[in-house]
Amino acid sequence: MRFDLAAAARGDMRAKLSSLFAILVICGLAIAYDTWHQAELPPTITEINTFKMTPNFKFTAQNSKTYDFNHLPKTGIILHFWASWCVPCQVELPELLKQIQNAHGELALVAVSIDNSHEAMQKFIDQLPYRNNTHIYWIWDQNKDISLKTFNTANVPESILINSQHQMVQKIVGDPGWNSPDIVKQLNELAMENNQR
Amino acid sequence: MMKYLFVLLFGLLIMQSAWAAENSNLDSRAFAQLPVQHNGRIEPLDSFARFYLTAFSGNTSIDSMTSDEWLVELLFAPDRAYHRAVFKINKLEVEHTLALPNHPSHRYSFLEIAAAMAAHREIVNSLISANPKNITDPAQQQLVTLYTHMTVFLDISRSLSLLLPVFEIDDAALAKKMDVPAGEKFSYLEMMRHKTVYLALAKPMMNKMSNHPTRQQISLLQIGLMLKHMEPDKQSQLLRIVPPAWQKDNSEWLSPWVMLQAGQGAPQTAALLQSWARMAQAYQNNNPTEWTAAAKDISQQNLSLAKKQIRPRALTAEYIYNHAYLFEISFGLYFTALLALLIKLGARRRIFYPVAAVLLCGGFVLHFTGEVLRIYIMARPPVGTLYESIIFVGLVVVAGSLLLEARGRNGLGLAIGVLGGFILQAIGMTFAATADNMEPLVAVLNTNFWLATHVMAITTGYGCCLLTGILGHVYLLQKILRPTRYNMHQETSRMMSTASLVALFFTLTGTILGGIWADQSWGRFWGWDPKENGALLIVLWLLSMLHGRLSGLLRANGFAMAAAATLITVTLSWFGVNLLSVGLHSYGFISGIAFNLFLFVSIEIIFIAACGLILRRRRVVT
Amino acid sequence: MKKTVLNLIRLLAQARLFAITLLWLMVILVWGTVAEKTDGLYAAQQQFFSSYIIWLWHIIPLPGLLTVTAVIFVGLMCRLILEHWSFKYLGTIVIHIGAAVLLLGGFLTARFSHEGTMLIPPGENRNYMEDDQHVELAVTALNAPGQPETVFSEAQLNADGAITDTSFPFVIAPTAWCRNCDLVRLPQPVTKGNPHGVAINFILKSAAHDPVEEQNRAGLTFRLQHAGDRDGLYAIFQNMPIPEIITVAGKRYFLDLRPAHIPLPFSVQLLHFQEDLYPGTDKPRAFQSDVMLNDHGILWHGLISMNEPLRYKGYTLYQSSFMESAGRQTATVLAVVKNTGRLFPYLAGTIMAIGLLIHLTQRLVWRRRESVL
Repeated sequence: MRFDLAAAARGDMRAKLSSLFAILVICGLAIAYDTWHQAELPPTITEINTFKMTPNFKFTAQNSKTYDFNHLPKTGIILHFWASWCVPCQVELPELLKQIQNAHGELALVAVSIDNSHEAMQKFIDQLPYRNNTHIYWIWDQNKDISLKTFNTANVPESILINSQHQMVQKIVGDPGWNSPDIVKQLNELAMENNQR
Repeated sequence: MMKYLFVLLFGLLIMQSAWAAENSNLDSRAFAQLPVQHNGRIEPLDSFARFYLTAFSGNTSIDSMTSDEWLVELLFAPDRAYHRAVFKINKLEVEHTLALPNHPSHRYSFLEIAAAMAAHREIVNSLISANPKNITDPAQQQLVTLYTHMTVFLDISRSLSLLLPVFEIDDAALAKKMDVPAGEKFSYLEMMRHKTVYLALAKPMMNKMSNHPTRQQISLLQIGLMLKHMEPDKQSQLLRIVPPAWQKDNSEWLSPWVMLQAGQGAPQTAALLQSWARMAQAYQNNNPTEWTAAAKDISQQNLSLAKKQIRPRALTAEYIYNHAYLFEISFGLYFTALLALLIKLGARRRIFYPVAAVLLCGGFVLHFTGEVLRIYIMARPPVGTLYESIIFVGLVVVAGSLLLEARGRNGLGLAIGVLGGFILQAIGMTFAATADNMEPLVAVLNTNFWLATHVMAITTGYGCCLLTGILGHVYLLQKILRPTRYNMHQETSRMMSTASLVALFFTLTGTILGGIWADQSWGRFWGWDPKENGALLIVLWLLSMLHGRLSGLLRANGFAMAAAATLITVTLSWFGVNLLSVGLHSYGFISGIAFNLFLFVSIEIIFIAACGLILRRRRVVT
Repeated sequence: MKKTVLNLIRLLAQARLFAITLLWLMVILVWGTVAEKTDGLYAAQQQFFSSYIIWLWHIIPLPGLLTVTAVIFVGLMCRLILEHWSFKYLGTIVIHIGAAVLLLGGFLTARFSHEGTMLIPPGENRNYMEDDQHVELAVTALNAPGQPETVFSEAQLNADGAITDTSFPFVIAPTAWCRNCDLVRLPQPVTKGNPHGVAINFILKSAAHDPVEEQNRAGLTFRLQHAGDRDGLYAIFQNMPIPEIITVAGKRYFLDLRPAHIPLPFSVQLLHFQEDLYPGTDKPRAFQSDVMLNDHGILWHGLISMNEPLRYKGYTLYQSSFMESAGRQTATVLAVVKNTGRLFPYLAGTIMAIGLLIHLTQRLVWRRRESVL
C-alpha cells in the first residue's frame, strides 16, 4: 500500500476532519452523560401470596360437642399444638390466652393437646386464666390424628396462624413470645381482617 | 458416629424378619425423576444417586444394579444395602490399617468397614479430629474421606426410616390395646401416634423386669429398643425431598426427619409423607402398580408445594441426559472417524471419506444435542465452568471444521474436526470424572446475559484460535511434505487467514465485553487480572500476526509459523492462568497440569522451529 | 522541514512498527502477570502496567506499558492521517478509529479517575471513601464536635520535619515510620525517654510489604512535644485496639492512623444488607445493599447488588463484598469509582466490532481476492 500524501492533503482531508469532529463530539457526550445521568429506581415487585386452605377435620371440644373445623365462625384462628409436660408450653399458654381474651372474639383458639391422658391435660387447663373464653376449643388429640396425621406436627409447641377465610398464613415453631410487639402486630392484622370484610 | 455404629450393630441383632425378595420389577424411572434439592439446586434423584454411587464406588452401576436401583435399595431396604460391597478403597495401606479381609475387587460393604473402624477406633478418631492440613499422606487422606463417605452413606440410608414398616406386634391382645392391626408391620410415624398408649403400658415394666417376661413384655421391650435405636435417625438430613411448606420460594428443602424436628410440617407435607410411605409399602410388597401410582402422587404433591422451584420437564431432560451419555458417544464417534481417516491414509480407498464424514457429523449432532440439553436443564448458557468451556470449544472446533470442509471438500476440514473433537472431548471427559458437573455458579457468575455474551464470545474465539493453530500446522506440513502443490498451499493459506480473522473478531469482542462486565460488576473496565491478561495476550498475538503479514514482515511461511504458535498462546491463556491462582478469576484453579502444559509447549516450540528451519533451508537451496 | 515531518509520520504509521511494538507489549504482559503471583497484584501492576519505565535490576530502563501505548497511539494517529479513505478499506479504518477511542479512554481513566472502598455497618452513614493504598494521620479534637479533623498524608509523615497545625497545641516529631509494621513485645518495659501507651512495652518494626494491600498495617513512632506532662515517646498503628487519645490542657485529641479518606459529595446510608445463599449450602448466590444517598438534603434511594451497581453524579457504587463481625449485623463493603472515561470502552468496542464485521463481510461474502488478509 502506498501513501499518497498529496491526495491525503486534499480530497479526503475534509472527510477525515469531519469524522474526527464527529468522534470528539460523541466522546464529549459520553463524558457528559456519565457525569449527569441518574440511575432509575428498580421496579418494586409486589409478592403475590398464595395461602393454602386449612384442611377440614372433626374434633371434640371440652363440652363434649363435636365440631367441623370448616364450620367454625369466620374469624382469625390460632391452631395451637401443646402438651402439659412441655415446659415452653407451660410458659406461653397463659400469654396466648391473654391475647385471645384481648381480642374480644376477633380471634379464636383451637388448642390441640398431645398429652398422655385426658386427666393430665385437664389438670393443667384448670389452673389457666381465661380458659373459659367461649372462643377457645380445648381438644385432646389422643391418637395424634389432628397433630401428626393431618398437620404433620411432631413436636410442641407449634402454632399455625389462620385467617378469617380459613387459609393458613404462617407457622410459628416454639414459643414466639405472644406479648412481643411483632407477634401482637400479626395477631392484630389477623383480627382486623374480620372488620374489613 | 462411632457410638451410633454400636447401636446400629446391636439393633440389627434384634431386627425382625428379613426383607422381601428382590424387587427388580419396580419401575425405577418413576422414582428416578422425583426432585431432590442437592448442592443448592433441584435435581432428579437419578443425579443424586449417580453422584453418591460414583463417590463411594467409582462407578455408576453396582452388582448389575443401576444407581437408581441402588438408591432405592438404600432408602427402602437399608439393612440389605448395609451388606452390599459399595465402598471402593483405592489404597492398599487403608485396607491393611483397617485389617479388612482382602477382597480382590477392593470393594467393601458398610458393615465390614464399620466393624473394622470400630475395632481400630483410636486410629480413626485421631485422624478425623486432626487438622486436615496436617494430614498429607495420601492413604491417611483416603481413610478420612472413607470415614466421611460412611457418615454420608449412613445419613442417606436413614432418611426414610420413619416411613418404613419395621414395627410389628404379634400378640393380638397387645395389638388391640395399642390400636394397631396384629401381625402387620407399621412405621415409626405410625408408632408415634400410639406412643401415649405404649408409654402407659411400658411404664410399669420399666422399674422392675422379672426373670420370666411375658410375650407382651418382650414385644414392648423390642419396641422400646427399636425406638431408641432410631433416635439418631433424627439427624439424617441429606435427602432433601420435602419442599418448604411455610417459607417463601427459593428456600431450603428438608429431609423428612429434619422437617418434623424443625416444625415445618403442614397438611401438604403430611400428604407427601403418606405417599412416600405408600411407596415403601409397595416396595415391600413388590407391587409395581402401587409403586408407580405413589411416585406419580409424590410428583404432583411436590409440584403443588413448590411450583416455582420445580421444572418437571427439566427433571426429565436431566434424566435423559444422564442416561444418554451424549458426550461420551460423540467422543466414540470422533475416535472411530479418526480411525477411518487413518485407514484412508494407508489404504487409499475412497469409501472411508464418506464414512468419516458421516461419523463426524453424527458425533457433532450428539455433541450439539448434549449442549442443548445442558442449556435447558441448567437454564443458563453452558459456559460457566472450566469443564463446560472445554466441551463448548470442542463444539466450536468441530462446527468450524465442518464449515471449512463444506468450502474446501478436500478432507482437510474433516481431519481437523475429527482430531480437534477427539482431543477436546477426551480432555473434557477427564474433567467430568470428578464431582457434580451441574453445580450452580458463584454469585459473580450468576448472570445469564454476560455468560451468553462475554464467555461464549471468548470460548468461541478460543475454538477459532485452535482452528487457526491447527491450520498453521497443516500448512507447514503440507509445505514440507508436498512442496509442489501450490494450489493446495494457497487454499490452506486462505483458510488460515480467514480463521485468524474470525478468531480476532470473537476474541476482541469477547475481551471487550469482559471489560464491560467487569465495569458493571467490580468498578473497573480492566484490572490486569491474570485471566484478563491471558485473553489480551491472545488478542495481541493475533493482531501482531496479522499486522506482520500485512506489512510484509512475515511471509506465508512465517505467518503459518505464527499461526501454529497460536496453540501455545491459547493453551497458556486458558489453562496456564488457572495455575497462577491469583486474582479475581481464580475460581477455576486446578493443580497438577503444570507438567503437561510445559511438555505441550516445549513440543510445539520444537516442532515449529524445526519446520521453520527446514523451510528456510529449502528456500536457500532453491 | 515539512518533508522530514511527513517522512516521520510515514515511518510511525507502518504496520510493522505496530507488530514489533506488540511483541514487546506481550513480553511486558507475561512478565507482569508472573510478577503478580510473586510480588502481589498491586505492586506488579504499579511496576509494569502503570509506569513509563520498567527498571531491570534497578539500572536498565525498559519501556513500560504507558510508553508503549503512547507509541501505539501516535502510530495509530499517523496511520489515520495518511490512510487513503476508500470503500475498500472501510473495515480497517473503522477498526483503527475504534482502537484510537479505546486508547483515549484508557488515558482518561488512568489520569482522571479515583476509586476507593466504603465499609458501612447497617444504619450508619458515610460521606467518604477509603483508599487502601495510602495511609493518613488524622488528629481530631474530641470535645469540639463540628470542628473538622486535621489530616496529614503519608508523605508528610515520612518527611523529616515535625508535624504541627493551629488546630492543636502540641507538636508531633516522627522518629520512625513503617508502611507495614510488626508489633514486637519488648522483654522489659522501656524506662528511658518517657514512653506512653503502646511504646512502653512494644516497638514497631518495619516488615516486608504484604502483596495483599489490606493486610499492611502502617505504624508511626513519634515524640510528642509542647504537651505538658504528656510529652514523650508514642507509637501508634492502624487498627489499634485501644485508641490513642491525648489530653492536653483539658482538651482531648484522638490520633488515628487510617486509610486515606477521599470525601464524596454525598453521604451513603446502609438501610439493609441482604446475603442470599444457595439453599442448603453456604455458597453465596447474590448479595445486595439497600442504600439511601443524601446529597446536601436531596435524598435518593438505591439498590446495589452484584452485577448491578448504582450510578450517581459520575460516581459508581458497586457491591464489592461484606464483613461479618461476631454479634453484630453484617456490614456491607462497597467499591466506589469515579471514572471520566467510563463509557469510552463501550464506544470503542462497538466501533471495532462493526469494523471487523465490515471487513469480514467484504472478505468472505464478496470474496475479495486481491488482498492478503
